[in-house]
Amino acid sequence: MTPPAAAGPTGPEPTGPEPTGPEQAGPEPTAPELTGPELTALLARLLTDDDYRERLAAHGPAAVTGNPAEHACLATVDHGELAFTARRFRTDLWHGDGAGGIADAFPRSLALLAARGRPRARLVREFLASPWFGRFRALPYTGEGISLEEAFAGYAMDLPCAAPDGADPAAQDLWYTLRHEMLLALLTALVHERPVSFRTDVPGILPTDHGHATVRTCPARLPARWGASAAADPGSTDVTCLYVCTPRAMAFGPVSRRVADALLRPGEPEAERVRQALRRRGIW
Amino acid sequence: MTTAAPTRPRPRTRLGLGVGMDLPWGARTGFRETDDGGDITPRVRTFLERHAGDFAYSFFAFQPRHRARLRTADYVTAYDRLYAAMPGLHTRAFHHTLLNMGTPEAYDRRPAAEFANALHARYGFSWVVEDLGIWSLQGRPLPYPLPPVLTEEGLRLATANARQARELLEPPLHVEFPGFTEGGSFVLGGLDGFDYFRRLAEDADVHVTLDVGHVLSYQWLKGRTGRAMFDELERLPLDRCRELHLSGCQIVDGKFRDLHHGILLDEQIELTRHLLPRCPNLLGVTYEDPVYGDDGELVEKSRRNYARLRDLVTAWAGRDTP
Repeated sequence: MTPPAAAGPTGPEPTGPEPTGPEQAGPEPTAPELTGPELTALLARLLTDDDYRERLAAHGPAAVTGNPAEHACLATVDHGELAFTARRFRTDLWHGDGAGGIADAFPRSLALLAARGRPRARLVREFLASPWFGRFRALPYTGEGISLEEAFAGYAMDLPCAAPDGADPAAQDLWYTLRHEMLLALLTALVHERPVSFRTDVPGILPTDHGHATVRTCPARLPARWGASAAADPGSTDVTCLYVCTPRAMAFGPVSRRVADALLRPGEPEAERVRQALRRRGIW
Repeated sequence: MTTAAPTRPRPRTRLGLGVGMDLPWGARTGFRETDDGGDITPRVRTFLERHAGDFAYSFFAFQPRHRARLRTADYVTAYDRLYAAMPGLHTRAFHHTLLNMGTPEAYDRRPAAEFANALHARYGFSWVVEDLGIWSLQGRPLPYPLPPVLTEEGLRLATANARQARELLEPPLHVEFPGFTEGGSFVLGGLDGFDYFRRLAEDADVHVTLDVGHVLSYQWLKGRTGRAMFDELERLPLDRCRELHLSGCQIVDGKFRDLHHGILLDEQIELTRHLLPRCPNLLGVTYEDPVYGDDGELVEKSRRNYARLRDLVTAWAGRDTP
């Protein structure tokens, strides 16, 4: 959502000095200043760009900008305060600020990422620099965005150490675990924080009578590691998992292809019977 | 410096001492989830049972319950219970946290204003207050509200924001002087903070709130400590000031910190004493974020200066001449 023009800080345009001829003495020209969008971008960069902030602290404004207006803004920055604020900004993303944070949503994924050389500090630094972070909005008043969970999973699933296929099972485990934990978080939010103030770009999430559901395929070894009680068919390499969330319960686990098809394909004769079975368990 | 008062009626009554409460959801001092819409925690209830009678008015600061779009229906059950716990406190205000008036970016503040107006219809707020800060940036909350950008363009944008907020809100808007060391803060731009705030208040035609800790934090930032903490205060829009706030502050590692821990510094009491006669349109003085235990009693370290504040404000309110 883009705020209408009337909702933004659209005060009267500054009135410049009257045109003056060569003989007239005009007021001293004022130095150009950063505009609203430029100030916004500068503040965001100060909070999220470690390299920019560290060069500014070490060498002063001239080391990071040749723009006199930006230089003038930066000259007043207290670097200790800025570093403190930037640390708190990261901490709030990690642990949450009232709402859940990355650590709460991705416990298994973070352990796998750490084992693959991505500890917390590196993860946060890279996430903040990624285009995924730019798509995240916790508040919808400057335009709608995706949730923190979806943005973080999108960033991490793009890492070279995570892959849905290929010869590296550890990369597979990481990729599918990230997706699994993102789906749990998203479905929970869609049910318990409705109507959510963010959009989701994750395809295939279906509304149910009282919540949301989705179906995904993953390596058969993984659901048990994630705590699913129902086992995959012995000997199968992949398994289809159903995720369902209602105000009463969140559930996921392997289901047969027949059940998955019944839920996903329009007009499937089995669909209503499957839904009734899920309704009886309070998860549709 | 003399400034023109806003074109609204002057207060005929000094309210006296009020209480301001930050009540996050899920905190022991705050709101808690219940099956039927939420409630205050037992600790808050006990505090109000013991101390609501000490105060002439109240406000609470908005805290989001979750990430749902802003709807009054998600909040009023809990707010009804908050007000039911202080039945004698009929004068109510609302501390907003979503107007984001210090931001330099385009920001749709209509939902925040509509939310406040809907609550006002239910609870009859006497005013709405919010610090002139950058509370969120690009849709992401900041750890502490940052001061607005102290440049001419930053001032123009913040003034337009405050004017718009005033126009959108049904209750009067009080714009609060920003904190400069609220946890961790950094400042862009070199305009004088007092001049900036006065120009904004005049051009946006708004009432103001002076948080005594915020003013002191700015004085410290400018090196004005000791007796110099009274310097330059006439550059603030004192005629427009309707409310003073005091919350617990502390000097940490040589820096002034606005920690909201309930313990007032002697300097805050002295600055309040200095400001009271210089703010002719003042309605009240708010003790913000008292800190108390499960027994509802203020923590021991806060009692001495809370009592001094209460005595000071009681004497000031008693000098009212309608």
